[in-house]
Amino acid sequence: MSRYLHEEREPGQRRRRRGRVLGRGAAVIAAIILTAAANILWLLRESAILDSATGAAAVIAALGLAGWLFFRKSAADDAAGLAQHRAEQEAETRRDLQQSEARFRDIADVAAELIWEMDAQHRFTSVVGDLRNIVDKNGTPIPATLGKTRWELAGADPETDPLWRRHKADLDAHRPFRRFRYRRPAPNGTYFYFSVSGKPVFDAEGRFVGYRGTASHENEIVEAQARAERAEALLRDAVASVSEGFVIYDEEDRLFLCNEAYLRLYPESVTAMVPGTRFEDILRAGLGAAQYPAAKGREAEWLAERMRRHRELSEEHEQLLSDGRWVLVSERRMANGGTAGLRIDITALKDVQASLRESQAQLNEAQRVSNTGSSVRDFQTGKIVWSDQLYRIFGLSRQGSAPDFQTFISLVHPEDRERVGSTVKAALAGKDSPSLQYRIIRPDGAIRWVYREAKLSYAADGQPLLLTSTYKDITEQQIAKQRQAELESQLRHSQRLEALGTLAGGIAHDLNNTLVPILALSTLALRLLPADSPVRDDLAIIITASERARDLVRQILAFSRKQELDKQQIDLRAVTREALSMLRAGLPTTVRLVEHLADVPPIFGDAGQLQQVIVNLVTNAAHAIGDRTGTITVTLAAIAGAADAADAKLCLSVADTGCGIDAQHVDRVFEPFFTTKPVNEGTGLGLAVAHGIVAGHDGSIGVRSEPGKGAEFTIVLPAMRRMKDAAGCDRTAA
Amino acid sequence: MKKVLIIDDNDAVRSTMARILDLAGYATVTARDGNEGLARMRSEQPDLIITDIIMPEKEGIETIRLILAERPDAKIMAVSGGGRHGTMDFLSAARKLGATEVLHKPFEPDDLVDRVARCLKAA
Repeated sequence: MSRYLHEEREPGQRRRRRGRVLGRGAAVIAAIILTAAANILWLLRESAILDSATGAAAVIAALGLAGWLFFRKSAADDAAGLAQHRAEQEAETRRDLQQSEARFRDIADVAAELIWEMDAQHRFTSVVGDLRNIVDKNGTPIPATLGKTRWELAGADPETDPLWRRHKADLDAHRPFRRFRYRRPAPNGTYFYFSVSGKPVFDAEGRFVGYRGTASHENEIVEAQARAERAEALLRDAVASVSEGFVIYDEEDRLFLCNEAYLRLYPESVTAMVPGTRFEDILRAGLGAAQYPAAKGREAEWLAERMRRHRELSEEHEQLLSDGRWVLVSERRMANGGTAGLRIDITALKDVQASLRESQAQLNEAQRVSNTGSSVRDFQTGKIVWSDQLYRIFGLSRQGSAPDFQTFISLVHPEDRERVGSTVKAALAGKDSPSLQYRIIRPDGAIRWVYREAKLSYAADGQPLLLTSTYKDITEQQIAKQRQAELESQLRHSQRLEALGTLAGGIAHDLNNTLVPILALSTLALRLLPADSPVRDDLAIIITASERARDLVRQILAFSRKQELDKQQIDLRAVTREALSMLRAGLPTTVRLVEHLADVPPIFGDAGQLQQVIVNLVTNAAHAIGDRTGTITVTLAAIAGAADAADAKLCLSVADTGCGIDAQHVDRVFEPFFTTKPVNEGTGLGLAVAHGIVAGHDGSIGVRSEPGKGAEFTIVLPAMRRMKDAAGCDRTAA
Repeated sequence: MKKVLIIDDNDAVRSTMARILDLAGYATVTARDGNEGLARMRSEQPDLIITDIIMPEKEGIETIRLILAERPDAKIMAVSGGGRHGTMDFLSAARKLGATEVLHKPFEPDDLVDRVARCLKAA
């Protein structure tokens, strides 16, 4: 440090002042020391640099400086010299002064200040202290300073520069000055900044001899200030340039700073947004102007909640404003205890979210209405997403089931699983797959038909990106299709029967007319012939043949439903019992006939024709058993109506333990002239007749058979409905 | 002797029925269709009219209606070998129109005689 500490004094002047000190008395010396100390203290106090922390050091420095100044001043004032006899005291005093000077140097070194003196022409005569910066703009060091005025050093002209004009006026008027700030050119186009304080100095006679004072380097302060100003300007610029609303509340929660965007967001409370206003009061102003729709009618509660959030800074939250805009409110605590807040206008985002939600809802609804679900597989993430409707189609809950291949394939009907599995796996492997139709079994056991289509989309490099599949529940269509196929089959069947019936009806009429004379006249002729006539046998054969022909025509009429039915209220149990008692006599002993005949409601029917049905079925059953031992079980029961009691039906079944019917024949057994019996053992009309009669009673007949184990024919007939059948009589009965 | 009018378009049937009833002791007159039958009814005043249902010119159902319009107390027996046509059940219709008896073709001679006797008895 000491290399920076210089004393500058012109050699001639120094010698002159040294000489003078010898001629002064001790009292004068002491007075001067005190005066000098006071001056220095004053100067130091005036200095902008002196603060409380360095106060003590400054006092010490002042004392040291005072001693040093005394040494110089007494030398200047005492030109004549003092008596030789006091040389000893002088020598002692000099030593003291030298010590004092040494102390001062140390302190001045530490204080890093400049102390200067100027002559009556305001030219520097002395500069001492930290001289680091005391170089001119060419880098030339300190000697250049001495003998020049301050404005010369600053490169300024007091004639033209108002600052310097004022300063020079002060000096010319010998007025003390404080903290005069100026700058001096330095190398590289920079400046030295000084803060200078000074006081005029007068000699014992009161003549102005110059100025004395301190100077402090202000470069660091100026630079710090400039940096602070730049930082603040930068902050303000940054805040202003943020497109989102930005606000800072101080540690007392008062508005410190906000940008235009913030003000624009809250136009209703903008008048309250004056720096210094508390956050809560700004909120109240907004509430008063109905700024927050969510607060309507519950302002106090809303305010408490908002303040709680503001205090706790718990989470970001969304805020709806009265003009319909949505704002995301985000607040953070700052290190100084204040709050920095950001308000982001998310109206567009909310709109997009809303329209996204809306289109999602529309998609869901469309899927629901069309009963079509969808799944999307992302090949890069492996993630699979199933739509709500797909879960519904599969009968699964979103919570209970992972949307993966395993879950899916376990739902597929075992018979379809291999076909579906291989196709879906191919699709998952990035290969196009054809559309599929298959069954699934829901967890509740319901079987649904599903139509699946899949579409792969590819990335630019040809890699599969997404697999989008749609699943349409086509169960209803499938059922309808099956039903339609059945109906078509029934229609074809009934059309065939109808055609046969029409044909049969026409033939029957003519045949019956033809048979009238054959049968009647043969009978008459037989009666008229003598008992031993050889023609009798011939006539008998004619009669038998005619009767067969007559029966055949009747059967044809029966299956073709061209037969006339004589319907009346009958007890089917009685009718059945009668038919069975008639049949029992004709059955072989190896065949056991079992009856389970329940008491049933009456039906409206032709007893004779229904007996014919029973006869045909039981006869058929007996033929199926053949020579073996077997059982024929005839069961009659009532079936409760699905809708009400009036809807009741009767079920009559004939089951046997015979040979059964081959699967390929089951569908054809009711066709006329279809028979599996050997030629001459059956006409092939028995079951066709039964079918025709049952149909003529608005009933149905079906068969179930297990080849080798037997067959069961089941007839379902509607029970008689009193009110309706009173009218029905006219329509269907004789 | 009771007189029976037989209306049937089939010659063989007509003559067979006449033969049976002749043998059974009835007087018989015949007609080959409804129009002729109505004329015969007026001229012969039969005790019983037997009519076929399906006939050319004037078929049986219409004939029965016209007979009963003229003679509400006429005894009629409808005979048919035709079964049903569509929903039409001829013999049921005949009975409903007022025919006393119906008979399916073909029939035994005794059947015819029994029914004729029954008709005439049911006065």
